[in-house]
Amino acid sequence: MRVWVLVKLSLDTSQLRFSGDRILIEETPLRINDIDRNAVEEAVRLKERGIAKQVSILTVLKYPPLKDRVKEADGLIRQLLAMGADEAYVVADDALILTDPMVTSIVASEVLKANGYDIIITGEASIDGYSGQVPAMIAARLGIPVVTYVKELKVDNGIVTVRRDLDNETQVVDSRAPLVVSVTREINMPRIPTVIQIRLAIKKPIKLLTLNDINVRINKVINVKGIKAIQVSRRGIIIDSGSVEEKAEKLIEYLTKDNVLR
Amino acid sequence: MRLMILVILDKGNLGIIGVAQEVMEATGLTINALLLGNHEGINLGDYGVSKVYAINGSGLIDPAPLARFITNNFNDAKYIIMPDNKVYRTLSGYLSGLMNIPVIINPTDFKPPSFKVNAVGNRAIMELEVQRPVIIVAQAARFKPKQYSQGNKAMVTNVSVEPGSLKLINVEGKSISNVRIEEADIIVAVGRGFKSKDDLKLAIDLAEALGAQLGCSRPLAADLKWLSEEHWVGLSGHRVKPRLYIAVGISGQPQHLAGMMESGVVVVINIDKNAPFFKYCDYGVVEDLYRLLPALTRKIKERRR
Ligand SMILES: Cc1cc2nc3c(=O)[nH]c(=O)nc-3n(C[C@H](O)[C@H](O)[C@H](O)COP(=O)(O)OP(=O)(O)OC[C@H]3O[C@@H](n4cnc5c(N)ncnc54)[C@H](O)[C@@H]3O)c2cc1C
Repeated sequence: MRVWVLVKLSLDTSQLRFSGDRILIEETPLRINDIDRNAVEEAVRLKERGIAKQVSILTVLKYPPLKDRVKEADGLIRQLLAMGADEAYVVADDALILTDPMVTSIVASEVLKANGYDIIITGEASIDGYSGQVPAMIAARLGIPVVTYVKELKVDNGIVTVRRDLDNETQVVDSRAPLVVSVTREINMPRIPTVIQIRLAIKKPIKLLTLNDINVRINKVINVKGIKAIQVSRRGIIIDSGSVEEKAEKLIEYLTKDNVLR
Repeated sequence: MRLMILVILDKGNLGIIGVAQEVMEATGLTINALLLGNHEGINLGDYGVSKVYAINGSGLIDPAPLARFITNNFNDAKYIIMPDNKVYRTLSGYLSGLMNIPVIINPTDFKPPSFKVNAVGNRAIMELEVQRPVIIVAQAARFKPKQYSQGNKAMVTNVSVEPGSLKLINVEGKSISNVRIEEADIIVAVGRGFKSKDDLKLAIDLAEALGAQLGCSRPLAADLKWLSEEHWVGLSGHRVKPRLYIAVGISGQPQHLAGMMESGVVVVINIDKNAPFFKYCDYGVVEDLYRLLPALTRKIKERRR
């Protein structure tokens, strides 16, 4: 089977840079969306079990400045290749900067159609956009089924069996490839590649594509008029000296003064 | 082409009609509803819905057939509105792919065609404008639909949808409590700093002394299952804004912060003085929770006597 993993290079929300109520997107580093590491891990396990012949990574860059981000992407994607993926495709184009998930799904489906696929694995959602829309959007565009929020995945004799972790229940669902699967953070523990694997990953191919290469033209349907940081200022008073009793007393004293204890 | 609002819902999510009503009032479009599952005793006519299409039968295991049905029959919908949960969020994506229209998740403010949504991991508000038809996913519980008039009967048509290609093998319910953490006044939130489920007793005692609800980080609900998901705070859990938030043994990863940023006073209790949460607190106590919590609980009880 040919297995794809869709990876988002998200804004690292633990390292956001601000200026007043502006988020300095261009200066905030990218980060592999954490749950996409779980997706890569699951794909690599399918390869180790002889089910996947090839594991390919696909990412669509969304953040400026494009030139620097392409370099940054190379370093990040190598980490996933070191985990055991075989190759990667990076779509980078100015027309894709700050576009919405629908645009991601249009671009990704075209790359998938052009290359062929059996199982497409994604994370349940990204740490920055957190919409969880892309997996089902792609499935619809490819005309194949989708199973979301999967915390267990088995492939046996062509039958894909998953356990879905939904709000009020868990479902066990059978399907057949081709299909799209989105996985949760609880599905596995992503491996940390060894030094040798990291060195070997340098030789694995990363193909850079523009919209021209895949014959896609984008009409922006969502117009972003502004992004404003949510800012909350906190006092940051740290109680780190004295006995346990004194610390507890100190805290209660502050909270009493603030009038938050009944 | 006649344009309208299509609201998709089931018995457990009637609040979502409140969103459709706001869009109706802003645009003058009429509301049609697609009601999934059992709909006995529900008269949507009272809420200003003109036509109801009722789909009986099993839940939404495979979103594809329903999405195809909507695409084929409601091509004239300008706003497609549905509640926010994992099943509907899958439907919304599939529908977007088939209809080639965008999805807006949990708008905090909407004056069509303008919307405000949370972005960048809930650390920012983004203002958007969408001219095309759009799918809106919103939290039903946040809205209270208005009863416009009594006894206004909506026309109900029963429709059916073909089965999908996914086969449901088994369903297991989850334990659910009726905690509404979003409405809590004070929250004591627990994280992986607790070594066992039994140890949560220390936090439960403190919560009782304070009249607080118990919150938790994702691993405690999703992985360890020490608490039910109603307690889960964060980007993928609940968003809370209590007057007082006390985080105990939680490191303060951005996905946790995303759910509690708007709390009043924030207290952090952590043994590690470098825990990132200390950068986002009003009061931080660097101490072993196993030593601090008993003392804190005792003193709070004494204070109230
Ligand atoms: C897309 C996505 C969505 C996510 N959504 C959420 C979400 O909604 N909510 C959420 O919480 N997480 C979420 N996460 C997970 C998040 O990134 C963190 O993994 C998680 O919040 C960590 O939980 P924790 O702080 O309990 O555990 P840890 O990070 O392990 O922290 C435990 C803390 O306890 C402290 N500690 C240990 N022993 C003691 C002691 N004796 N006394 C006092 N302190 C002690 C440690 O110093 C440490 O700081 C999400 C992740 C992703 C990728």
